[in-house]
Amino acid sequence: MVTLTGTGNPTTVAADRMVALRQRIEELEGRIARGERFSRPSEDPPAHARAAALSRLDARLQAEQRVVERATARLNAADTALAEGVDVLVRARELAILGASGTFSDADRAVIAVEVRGLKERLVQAANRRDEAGRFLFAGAADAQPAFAPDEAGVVRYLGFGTGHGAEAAGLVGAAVPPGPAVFGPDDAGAFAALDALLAALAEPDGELRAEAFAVAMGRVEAAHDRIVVARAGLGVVLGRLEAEVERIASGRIELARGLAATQGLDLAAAITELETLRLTLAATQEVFRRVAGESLFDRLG
Amino acid sequence: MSDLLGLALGGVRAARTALETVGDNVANAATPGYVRRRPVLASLAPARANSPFEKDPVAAGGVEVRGIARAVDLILVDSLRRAESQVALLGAAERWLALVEASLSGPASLARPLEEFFASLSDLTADPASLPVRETVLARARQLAARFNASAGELARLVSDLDAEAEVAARQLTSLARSLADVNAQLRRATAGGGAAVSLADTRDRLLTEMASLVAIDVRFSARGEAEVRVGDAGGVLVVDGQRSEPILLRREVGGGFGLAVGPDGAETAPILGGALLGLTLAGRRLADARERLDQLALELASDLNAAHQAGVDLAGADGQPLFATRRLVVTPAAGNGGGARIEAVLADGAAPPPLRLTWNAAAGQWRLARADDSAAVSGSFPLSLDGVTVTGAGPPRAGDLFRIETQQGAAGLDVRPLPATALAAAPRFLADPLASNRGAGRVDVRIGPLLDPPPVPPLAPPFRVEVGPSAMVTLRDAADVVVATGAVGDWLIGDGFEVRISGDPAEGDLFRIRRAGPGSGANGNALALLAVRDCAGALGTPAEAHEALLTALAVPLAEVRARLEAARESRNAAAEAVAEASGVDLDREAADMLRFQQAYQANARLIQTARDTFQALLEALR
Repeated sequence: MVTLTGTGNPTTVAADRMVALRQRIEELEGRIARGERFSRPSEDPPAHARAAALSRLDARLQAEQRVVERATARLNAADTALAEGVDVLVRARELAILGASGTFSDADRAVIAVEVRGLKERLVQAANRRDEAGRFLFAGAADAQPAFAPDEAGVVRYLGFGTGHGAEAAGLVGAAVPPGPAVFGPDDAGAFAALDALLAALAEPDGELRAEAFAVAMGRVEAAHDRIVVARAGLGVVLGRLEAEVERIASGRIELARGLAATQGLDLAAAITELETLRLTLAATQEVFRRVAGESLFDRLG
Repeated sequence: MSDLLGLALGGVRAARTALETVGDNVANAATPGYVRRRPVLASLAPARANSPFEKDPVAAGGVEVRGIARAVDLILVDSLRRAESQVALLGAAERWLALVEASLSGPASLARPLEEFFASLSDLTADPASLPVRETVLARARQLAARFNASAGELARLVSDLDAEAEVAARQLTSLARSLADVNAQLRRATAGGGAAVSLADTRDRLLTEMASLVAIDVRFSARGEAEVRVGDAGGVLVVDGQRSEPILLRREVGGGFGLAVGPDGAETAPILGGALLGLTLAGRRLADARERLDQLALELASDLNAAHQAGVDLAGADGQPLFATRRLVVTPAAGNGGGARIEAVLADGAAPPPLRLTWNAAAGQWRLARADDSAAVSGSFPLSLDGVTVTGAGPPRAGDLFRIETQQGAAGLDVRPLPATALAAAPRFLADPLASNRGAGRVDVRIGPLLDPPPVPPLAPPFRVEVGPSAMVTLRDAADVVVATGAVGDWLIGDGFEVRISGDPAEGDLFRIRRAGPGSGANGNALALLAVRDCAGALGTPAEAHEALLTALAVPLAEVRARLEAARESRNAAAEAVAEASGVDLDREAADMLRFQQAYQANARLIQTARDTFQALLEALR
């Protein structure tokens, strides 16, 4: 039986339903191709909002990861510089012991003084170590200029100011490279002053005064050494925290990926089953329409 | 005998008319709006008194066709009309809301540009003096502004297109009303039950359906089938009354919706209660809301970021400038321009110029920059400045070349100011530093504060320092040892443009230095402040939340409209099937009718033959 509606809609109801089925098939095919359960917010508003939140969180974690990696690189560079500082001060202590020995002549002490001056140069270089961006690690916020430089009298002074940048954007406080004075000590009582004291002791002509000066210099060198060692230990702790942070971010991102897959990902098996069902339904509808609409009593009239 | 002939003749005529009706039905089986016809046959009473020559005459009058009736159920037709109206409403709303959603989601979404911009700020905190990182921040900011511009432009285009569609719908409504009034006039003149009246009724019903798909209408029919139509419900405004129809005008309402005004001067206001126009109204309101939210998001974001940026210090040691502009100039060359001139327009900070026009006067060899209303103008060679707009250009113009210069605002006007990478203010304005020789565990915080009023004479000399005295009292001094402020540990001391606080457990004699961040500073305090805008919950929530709310405000109603549309289509299909059952052309039934009427025709023809033969036999007998 063919019943044509004649109601202003040129398509029949059956055709309308077939069009709707075709649209659903095309929509499902698009989802399967993308591997996503929805592509527009209106297809599932709550799920889209959740997926968007997860995606934002993932982007934030990625950014935090870069910040932590950058801070780690700076701290590792600082640690290398401090290791060199420790070496310098260990050698300075050895030279102080040698210099304090009564068997050495003035000429021998002059040779030692040359090495101590070299050590001081090395220590200044270590204290003025730069990061990969060329910024001075121990200069705090004023890291465009060297952290330490000798004044006119040859006394090495701290030129930096404030605190450098760390991993604050990742929510970590205290991951910045410590400013120079925190590592190398104050200008008048730090590592450079200890080497100056050693040089002064080596230059002292009076044996008794020299012995006293060596004792003082030895104490200062050891104090400076200990300060740098403690600073290195502090860096190690911070680096450990950063490493743990990297792991936290990595595991967080894995969880987010799982959450996104659960929220946004398409259940392929279910989708393909639904697709096949729809195709079968469309084919059946078309066949039924063809058979029903294809014949009428007129065909039977002779 | 002649009666038999009369009866058969009537039968032949009736069968022929019935066969013609079947033919008409089959021919129009696929015609939209066609309602199946059926002949109204009636038996006739004897036309005259019995003849005195007839014994026991048969009281037979034969058959006649009283008219052609339409197989229509008005209640079903009305239900279908309402269902079509609902589908048109939801279809229009779905189509336009989907377009609005597409202009703000997927590849056009602001989510990724927002994420990438804040990620670049995060990178800046880790490398505040790095020029490549700074360039990246500016590039991401431009990308974000461009996305805002594109979405705003797309929404503006949708507003214009939606407006045009509503205007067309209103005009179509006027045209349909006029056509319906014409049909009413013809119905009045047509013979009731005649073929013309039936066709006119079909046309009338089709026009009513088309009107109902545009706007909800209330319909009443007169005895002759003339339609009286009101827009809205039974208490609505009359738009078709007999042969008279009223023009229907579209009115734009505040908030993006539409209304209708009826009458030549639009004096009567008619509500839109259904149909595609209501769908357009709903979509228009959502569209207006989306534009407002987008503008608000852009302005709040720009305002927050500008405020944070201006609190910092750039790589040259200067105060941060606004990062974003919220007005943008758009130069549009006229379609008829023939020259190759390329025009650039720059807007001065804080300027809000009216629309301008730039024209090339070939005779004078000068450019003319004027307000669109010509209330002010300047002429000459580039650069030309008017109302805060400075215009420059290159390339050869042609006589009469015209450029329109307009200011875009809100999301469409968002722009990154032309700042070099060094002008990005990543460092805080003031820095504080405890001396390494401090014995206590004091902590120093510094923040921007107001300048001293009145300004101190002589001016204070930076850098400043805070010294911890006895009884946990602290004193702020400048470089010349002038006491600026005193207070206790934990108090904010007010300096000149900054405030400083010593907290924790400082020892007596501890010193803290305060100074302005200098050129090349590697401090990241202001980059962190800029990044904090990401989590800054304003009136709309954080920027990401505001954006998500904007999408949700579209997605939820769109999902609802889709669900309702699906249901409405099913409902419409059911109503259409019911109408088809009553009014549609069933070819099987027509074939059966055709056989029936064909047989009736043949039988009546045979009767005529029989009557003729009988009459002939009588005549032969009389010879």
